[in-house]
Amino acid sequence: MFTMGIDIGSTSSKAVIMEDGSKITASCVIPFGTGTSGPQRVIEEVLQAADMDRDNIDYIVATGYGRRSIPGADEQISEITCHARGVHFLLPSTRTIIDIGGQDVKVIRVDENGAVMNFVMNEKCAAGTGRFLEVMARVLECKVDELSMLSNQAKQAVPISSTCTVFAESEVISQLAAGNSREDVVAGIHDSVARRVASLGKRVGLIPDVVMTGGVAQNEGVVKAMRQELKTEIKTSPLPQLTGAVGAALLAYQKIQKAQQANA
Amino acid sequence: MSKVEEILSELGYVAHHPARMVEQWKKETGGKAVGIMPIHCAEEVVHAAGMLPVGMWGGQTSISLAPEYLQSFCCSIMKAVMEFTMSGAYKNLDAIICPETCDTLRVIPLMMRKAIPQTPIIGVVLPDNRKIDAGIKYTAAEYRSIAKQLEQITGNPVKDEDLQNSVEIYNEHHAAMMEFFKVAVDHCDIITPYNRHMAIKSSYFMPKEKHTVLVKALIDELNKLQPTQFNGHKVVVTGIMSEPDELLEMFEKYGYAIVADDLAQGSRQFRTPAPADDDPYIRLGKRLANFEGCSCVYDPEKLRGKLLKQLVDETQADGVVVLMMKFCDPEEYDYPFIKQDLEEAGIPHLYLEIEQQMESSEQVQTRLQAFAEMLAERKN
Repeated sequence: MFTMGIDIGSTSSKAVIMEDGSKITASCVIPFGTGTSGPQRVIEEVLQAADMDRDNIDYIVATGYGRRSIPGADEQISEITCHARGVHFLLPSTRTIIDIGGQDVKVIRVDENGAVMNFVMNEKCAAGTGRFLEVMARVLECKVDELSMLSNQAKQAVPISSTCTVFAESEVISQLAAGNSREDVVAGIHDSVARRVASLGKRVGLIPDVVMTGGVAQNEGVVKAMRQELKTEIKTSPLPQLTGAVGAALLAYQKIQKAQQANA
Repeated sequence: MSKVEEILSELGYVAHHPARMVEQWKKETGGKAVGIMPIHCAEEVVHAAGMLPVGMWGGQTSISLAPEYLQSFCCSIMKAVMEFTMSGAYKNLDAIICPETCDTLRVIPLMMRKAIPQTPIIGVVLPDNRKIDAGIKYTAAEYRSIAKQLEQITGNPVKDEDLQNSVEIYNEHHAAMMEFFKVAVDHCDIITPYNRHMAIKSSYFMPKEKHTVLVKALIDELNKLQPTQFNGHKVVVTGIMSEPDELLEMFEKYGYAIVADDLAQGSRQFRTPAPADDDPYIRLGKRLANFEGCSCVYDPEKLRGKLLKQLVDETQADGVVVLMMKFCDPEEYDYPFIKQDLEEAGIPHLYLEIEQQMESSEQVQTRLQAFAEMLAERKN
């Protein structure tokens, strides 16, 4: 039995096909999110990777910011629930999830079964999100992917005190103009993200194991800054960008099982 | 249309047409109308003066004029109030009563006096030490001062016996509202979050004795129906108010029923009756003294969380939704205490930041959906 999980974020589209809720058959990430060609493309490409068509898929769950605009999805489930289920599958010892996506930061407490116990999200503000890092990368004339490498070469992080993305951008420009190195400024930016996310995390309480998911979890500089800020070990999901989609595919399988049990 | 639907439709109409209701009342009675800013302003005094008290809780409007007076970090309710003030929406109000409930409200009377100098603005300062004898007397004196200022507008004295009568009318109305909330729990399919809110909001735009008649008729009609089993998520909401309407539609979309509230615009207005006393102003002072669990009055014992737990227990609710009005300092200060009490009691809660002017509902939707999924999982 095959299920598909589709996670349409603000900046990327992710899809996973799973067999019997236990094995990942195919996965795909397209760097375009809701409102673009990304959702359509990610579905086409994941089906192509699995050598399947829509008829081979028994149930599709859509999640993420663009979850309500996926034609053909059988159900929409929030990304909070999907991330919890996905992380539980990938790292069962997880009790706290820090998910940093394109425009959302979520901290989710889960129990030993992967059920959500509590969660908090950032408010309408880009501070601490992937978008924040994208804006900073533009000022620093580098790619987002290069931020981690740059911060690794930093000698002394330059403090970036502004929380607001717009003000932080001006502050970064000022720091560069003052002669600080790009590497030191990037390290300061990562510290700024860590401080912002940590304050959110402290509201739900950080119980180990703490695991980071989302695209920003691929940035080792942010993960390192988070470890320092929270003074705790932080693991990263083995499939950081796909965690929500994996959870959606697992929940799709659970739906079919429940329906079958009800009909038995 | 059933009788219940008829009443709900009427309440909904009133709630959505405050200006028309004021106009109609003035035409019918030749009386004057007085705007009442939140909260604890003793509407009874206005009622006793033969005037129509009109609730001023903001509303859905685009904000363009208000920033002349209010900074971006003021709450959306006060921004909407100032917008309506400056755009002339309150032109039919013959006076406005404004308490110093929070830091923003503290300066609103000054702004209003400048923005609409033709309208008398009556300021009220309520005491922190509201429970001691001197505090009760002080509250009574503040309310008496309102009466004196209203007398100058109407030219007629506010007699003690009239105020006693008004207090009784309000006690009866408040008891009817609390009874309605109880009855509504058995009819979550009919008394949806939206309809429940309409029942509350309409009370601010019509004479209370008329509203009581409608609410009692609604209770009678609901009592004739078989209680219905509700399979969704029963929640208690707490905060200032449950607006805008889109928010309540989202509650319905994700299967919530509001089975009790601790809203400043809702139950906090109704749950504490004015006790008996020969002096009607002292009655109102004692009511404020007896009142508990509101971010807008000084509460050294921090009883609000315990009150919420009690509401959850009484209604067998699945959780609490904290409707946090953005930039509302009093509510934000209360939240850590509420959070602690709810967590200690094992009651799941959702912190939901809201604004009267919601530009984007996506984040609110995600939170409400995720909380609904979380509550569903707990039941399984």
